[in-house]
Amino acid sequence: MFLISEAGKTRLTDADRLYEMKSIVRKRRSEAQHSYRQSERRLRIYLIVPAIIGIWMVVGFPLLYAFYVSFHDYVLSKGGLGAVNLANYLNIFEDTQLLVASKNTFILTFSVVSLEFLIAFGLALLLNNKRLHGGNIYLLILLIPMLMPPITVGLIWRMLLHPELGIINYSLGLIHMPQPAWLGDPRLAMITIIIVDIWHETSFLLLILLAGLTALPDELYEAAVIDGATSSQKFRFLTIPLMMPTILVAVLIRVIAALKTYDLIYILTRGGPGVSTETISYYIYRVAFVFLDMGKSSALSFLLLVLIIILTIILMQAMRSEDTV
Amino acid sequence: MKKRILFTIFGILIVLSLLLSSCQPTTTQPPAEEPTTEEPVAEGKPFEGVTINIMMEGVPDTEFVQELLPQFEEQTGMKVNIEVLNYAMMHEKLVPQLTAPEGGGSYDVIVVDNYWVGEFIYADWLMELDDRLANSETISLDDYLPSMVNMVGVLGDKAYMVPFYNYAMALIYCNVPEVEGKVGEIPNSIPEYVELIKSLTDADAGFYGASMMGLRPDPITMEWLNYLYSSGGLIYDEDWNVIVNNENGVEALTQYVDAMKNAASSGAPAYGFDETFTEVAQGKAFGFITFNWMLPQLNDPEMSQVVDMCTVTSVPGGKGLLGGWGWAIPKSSHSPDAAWAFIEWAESFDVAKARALAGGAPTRIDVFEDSDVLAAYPYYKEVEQIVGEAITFPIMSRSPQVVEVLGRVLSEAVIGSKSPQEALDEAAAELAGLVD
Repeated sequence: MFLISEAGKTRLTDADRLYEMKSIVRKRRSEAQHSYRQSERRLRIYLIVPAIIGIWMVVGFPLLYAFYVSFHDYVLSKGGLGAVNLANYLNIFEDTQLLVASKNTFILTFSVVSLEFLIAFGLALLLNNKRLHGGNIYLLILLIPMLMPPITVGLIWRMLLHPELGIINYSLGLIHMPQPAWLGDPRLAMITIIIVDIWHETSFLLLILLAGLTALPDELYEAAVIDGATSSQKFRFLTIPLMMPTILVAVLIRVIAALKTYDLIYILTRGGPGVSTETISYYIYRVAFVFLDMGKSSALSFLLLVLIIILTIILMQAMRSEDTV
Repeated sequence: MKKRILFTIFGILIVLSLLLSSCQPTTTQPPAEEPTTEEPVAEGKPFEGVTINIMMEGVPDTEFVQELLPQFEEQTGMKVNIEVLNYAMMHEKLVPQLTAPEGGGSYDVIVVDNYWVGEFIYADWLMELDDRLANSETISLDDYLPSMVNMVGVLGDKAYMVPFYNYAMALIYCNVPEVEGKVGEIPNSIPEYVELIKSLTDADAGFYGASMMGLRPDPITMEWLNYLYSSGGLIYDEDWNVIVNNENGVEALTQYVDAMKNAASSGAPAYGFDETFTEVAQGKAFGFITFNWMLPQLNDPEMSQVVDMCTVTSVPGGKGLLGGWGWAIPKSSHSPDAAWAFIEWAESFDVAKARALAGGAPTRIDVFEDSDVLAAYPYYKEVEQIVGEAITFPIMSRSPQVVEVLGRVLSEAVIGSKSPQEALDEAAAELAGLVD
């Protein structure tokens, strides 16, 4: 509001001055916020750029180079890159050894992921039970296998499974049970690897699933109890749906790791007896480091990568559709 | 609260995982240091301040070199880092280093398995040693058994390596109580040998005529090649035609499969070198076809329960597989002169003799025939003959691939998924494509 003074000049009231000052403060605050946001954005870029450069150097560039190599005839002992062609990819489809390795990889992946999940989920439910005393001690014991490198696990189990001198067959002999050749019998070798993998990797799934169960809200369960829900109803209608995102992430990680299984095969069987335990990763290792065929091994690696990406997308889609239900 | 405990546990686990991961027993020495450039400074210690890196396999001969190393370092002032690896890891770790440009690799001296000779030389990764050998006061290739020089010494008319130790394969058998009165003369053909070891087997009692190694790819290939060579077979003929699948080859594989099924443990298809040694050392088998230098280990009371019960002799049929390692200087070596000084020392008569007296596997004729060495190991006279007469693996650029192919098909024949003829026909088709 303006007042007309005697001299005919306008004079600002206190309210006008206050209003003007507030506008100035607002403007300055807005400018300060803008400047702060800009400097924050710059800081983010400064922080992210080294990481991006690092990732590019150790992941991006090798990945692109491997893709480039996969289209070339490139055997290390012969020297540089050879002719450009699609042979490395086309020959994959005629490779009978890869077919066997793919079948074995599927059996291994399906078996270990499904069995490990069932065991780990059962154990996680048990450990999440509030009436269980000393749960953390059990958890620590169950997590010990996860601490061990796969090479060590393989060497230990190789000794344990020795048909003549291993403690497992010795113990079976004491109770007059058959003493099988765990790694020497082609019908048993893959089952043995599955057992060793379950021993080693179940604790990883257990940890993730237990973390998921611990984070579930108690209120829903209390409400369910008030509504008269039974234990199985709580499990079916609350635990499973609420745990689904965690389960999918855990299973996805394990599927990817199982598809890449290499260490245990290398230590325990080298793909044998015969070709009974040869997996895709072990086959790629042989092509790359024994045959030194970098072109073909790069093509095979990209095939495995595509397979893993497809599986990831399928599981992500499944996860999203669960979320929307 | 519970969540916090869980995260704390998870954090501890991650730290422990990292710590345990770093404890993997892959090397027995600290990681290789960056080698220093050769700058001889002192008259008395010509390599003071120079560091060289060597990759070696974890075998007794390597341990003997390590034990003697301080005297060399004291004499020369050189620092020698020996990185000891499991055999299975050596090739894949060596190759990327060898492909490095001249002077740009991590290793100054390498030991080369005879399987790798062709691959490394045809790829032009090794230095020629003719000039250095011509000027050497301690080493001459004439001092070595010709079979060793032809395998891990020269290729064509050029010298690339100096023989280090042999691993000629032989039959080691032990007169354990289980075979008392059951073994007369050791047979001199493979079929007779297989019949003998079958007759000695009592699987119910856990005793076997032979401890056999069916693990892919090296163990099974190396063991079977003794059957092949002693049956008159070869992988390639003189003109590099594949003949592994001829009558001799099929007979050798038929005998091998028979032995594996009826004279060895049911676990043998997955056994490697360690398992067979352990089985024999515990008196669970009459013997095994293995490296001749396993005998001193079997006579070591700390490692064996069959001390002084075992003997080494030629593979039945008389033609075993000759294996061996040679010292070489890669072209990617930073310090070739220091590397050569080390090789000259390691292969000098005194050091080679000291290694042999410690239980090493000699390659020098003068060491084999030295009176002190023969007094300590009287059977070295027979070993010298075995090394001299054994047949080597074909020297070609793709030898490791040949081992891989043979290992796979032999394993398939052992488990019965392919007949010996089918397995060897499949191998022959692949082996033909691997010829240089």
